[in-house]
Amino acid sequence: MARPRGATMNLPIVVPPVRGESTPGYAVRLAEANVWDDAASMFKDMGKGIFIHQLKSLGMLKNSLMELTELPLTELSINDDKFSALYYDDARCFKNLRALTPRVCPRCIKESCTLQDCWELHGIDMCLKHNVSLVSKCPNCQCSLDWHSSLLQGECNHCHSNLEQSTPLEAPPVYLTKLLKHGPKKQKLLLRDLFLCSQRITRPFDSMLENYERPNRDVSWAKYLEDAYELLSNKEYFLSWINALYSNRNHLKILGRRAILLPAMELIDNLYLDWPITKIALPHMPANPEIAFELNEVSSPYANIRPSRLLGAPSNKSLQSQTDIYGVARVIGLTKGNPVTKAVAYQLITPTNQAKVSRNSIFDLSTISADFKAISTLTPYDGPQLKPLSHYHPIWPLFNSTGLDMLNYIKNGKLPGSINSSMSSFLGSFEPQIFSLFRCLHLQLHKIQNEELTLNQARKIMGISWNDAQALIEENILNYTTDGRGTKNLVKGEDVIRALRTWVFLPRVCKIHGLNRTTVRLQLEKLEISPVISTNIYTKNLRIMTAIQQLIKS
Amino acid sequence: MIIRRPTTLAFLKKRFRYPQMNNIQKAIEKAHKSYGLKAKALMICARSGCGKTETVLSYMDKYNKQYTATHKIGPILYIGLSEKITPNGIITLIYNELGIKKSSNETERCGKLALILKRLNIELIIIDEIQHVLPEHTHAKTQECADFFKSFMDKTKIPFVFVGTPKSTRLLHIFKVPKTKAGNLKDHSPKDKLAIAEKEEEQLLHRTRKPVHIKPFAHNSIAWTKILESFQQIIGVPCIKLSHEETALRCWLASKGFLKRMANFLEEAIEEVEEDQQITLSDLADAYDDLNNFNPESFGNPFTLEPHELNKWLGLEVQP
Repeated sequence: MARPRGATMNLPIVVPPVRGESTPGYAVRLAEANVWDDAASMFKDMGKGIFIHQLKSLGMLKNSLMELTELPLTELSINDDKFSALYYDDARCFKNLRALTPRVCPRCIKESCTLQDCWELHGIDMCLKHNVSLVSKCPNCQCSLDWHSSLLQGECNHCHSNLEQSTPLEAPPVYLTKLLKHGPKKQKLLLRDLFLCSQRITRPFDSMLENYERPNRDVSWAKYLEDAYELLSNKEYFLSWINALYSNRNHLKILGRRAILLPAMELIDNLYLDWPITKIALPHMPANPEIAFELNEVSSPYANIRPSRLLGAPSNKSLQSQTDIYGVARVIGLTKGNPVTKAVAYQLITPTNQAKVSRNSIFDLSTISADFKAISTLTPYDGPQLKPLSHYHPIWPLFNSTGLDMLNYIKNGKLPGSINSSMSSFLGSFEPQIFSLFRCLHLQLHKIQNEELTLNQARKIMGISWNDAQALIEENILNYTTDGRGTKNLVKGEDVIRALRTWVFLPRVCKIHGLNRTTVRLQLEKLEISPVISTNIYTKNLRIMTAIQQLIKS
Repeated sequence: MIIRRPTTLAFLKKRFRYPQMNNIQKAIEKAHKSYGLKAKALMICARSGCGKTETVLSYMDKYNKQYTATHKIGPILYIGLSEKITPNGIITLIYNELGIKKSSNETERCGKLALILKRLNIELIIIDEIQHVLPEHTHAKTQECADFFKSFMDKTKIPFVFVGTPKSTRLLHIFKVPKTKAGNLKDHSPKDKLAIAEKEEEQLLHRTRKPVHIKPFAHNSIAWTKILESFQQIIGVPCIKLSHEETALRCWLASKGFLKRMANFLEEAIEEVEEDQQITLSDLADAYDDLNNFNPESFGNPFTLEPHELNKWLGLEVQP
């Protein structure tokens, strides 16, 4: 379409992206077509921000290019099935794998006049086609190359000398030789595995694999990739690492072998290809791991490496036992029925970095193991069976009682309960056991006597819906006030206790005793007992209590 | 938001051709043909309201439409100058028309502009309101602008079409005045300037075709009757016959033969007329009363005067 007069700014000359071309390289070619010397000037003049900042996010860069060219995103993403797909991987460890300054193969440039996608990938420091090193500095003036249009002619943007002048041929490292043997599809998977493993190399005893920190941009990946290839393909090398794991994570043994071997398990489970190490069966947790594991003779490749984040944070031993939500779920044996959110809600475990559970939550296995150690010597309880823990949710957290408090109550003999001695799973050993939360709640109810609760808290304690709470307010059973900011409805704790003593809240009763609410309501109707307020609130008297007791027994 | 009636908006969007337009467009075409080798500019001069901008835009649209399917930008560019314009400002306006901004020094911007115009196959640049480069508008930048047009035309081989008021032809006679040792043009005395003028040749004159002047339509010309018939066709609402001898005369006296003024009266009448009603002399008279700010000492409202008064007025208007 011809541009109408006064239309918005976008480039008059649009060249289509070429297959195999990198996105920043396309920006350079676009700038050259529209007579800019470099992509940075084009972005600056066209009001698209600072090019070097946009380079850090390919998504942002593509959005800017979309606006400049009016090309659809699909056309700008024609190379996403190749190496650049790695940059879009969900896992954070695949971020920052691209070099932010250009690296070129002068021979390819002469042939195609485009900047290739694969040249940007850290760790691949050579042209896979011509077997020559990629040039990132001018061989003549030693200046770093820039995203300048002169690159498209294979010239240095500073001294305009030919970049091909002194490109040395060199033998590629082993992992690149391996890479060259495969087709593009397998190359991508192989690179993915190598980068994943190189994360492990940089922080060997850390349970976190890929979900928290971004790798530092200045990491020299070539060395790590070489080590990663060694770790993935050499069984002995891998086993010596396992050995080092045992000695470094021994303080977590109370949580089971999964806690100790978590870094190795995470690595193996996340690999895409079949490597020699994927065939290794990790040893079962012995009674005493230091004796049962017999690879102590092999020296660990990481014995002298201190754990450190790629971001260059100071080395900290506590990082060794940190893990993410997947790691903690694995260690304490959480399943779909018992997600991490639930364990956090019961305050059995607590994230170290934020209150809510998210993909970025970090858990400290050292703390969890210390807590568990404190309660592991409790004596089994053999009293009457009570309701499982999950039935008391969500009333429990409102009374500031953690799951560990519960276990301490049991330990001190204040509450009935028991701990499974198998210790195969922290939560597994805890939740199936029966103990009385209900008694604990009664013990703690008096705490709210002189407190002001939000209407939501009061509603949850009484186990009623918003409509029922509204009905109680209309009947002046609950008196509410607003807080200083006028945003929250506050209810007096004594009103709540009085209401619990005076009224029967059917949803609460049914939830605690595991009854079907409709059935109970029908039974009560038969006995000519009707709700007084709303459809769920009955007057507390002998008749209704007897009826409910009979229903529980039946 | 208050907007005009749909009929008014439809009227404003419509265009029509008139006999003079063809002649001017032929002249533009001749300048256009000079693209690529010894490009020659064209100056189109007319008083405001004669339809010069409409004429060049019509020419541009005719050529650019052929490129709409494949090109973002057609081969003809149109820019309108504003007051206090400088050569750098003209370059910026051309860049803006291309849809890009470019920041660097003037020489580089000019060089890059020539390159991108070549890549975009631009064949003609129309510069409207060229009178803004004259001294009273640009504070002694006229010569620089003339130099710019000359050198840019030489460099790109792209002809310019300058559109402006009659006095714009002065641009063609601007001569190059060398700077004094102090580097200040103003230091030359008038006598020196005259001496220099005798030595130097006008920069643009030899690269320009003969200027084309557009004059307002005469009251008794066939062209004026045809113009009114064309207005009648595009007006979009019932209207008295404008080309009727007496009404045509009233229209001419009201507009003095300027298309823009006539279009303004009709626009006002369309906007104000009752729905489904015919535009009458009374509506036109109201429009004249509301819009006549260019003829304050007239004899009255030409749409309400008696016929004999019209002739009297006409006699005075056409007096030599």
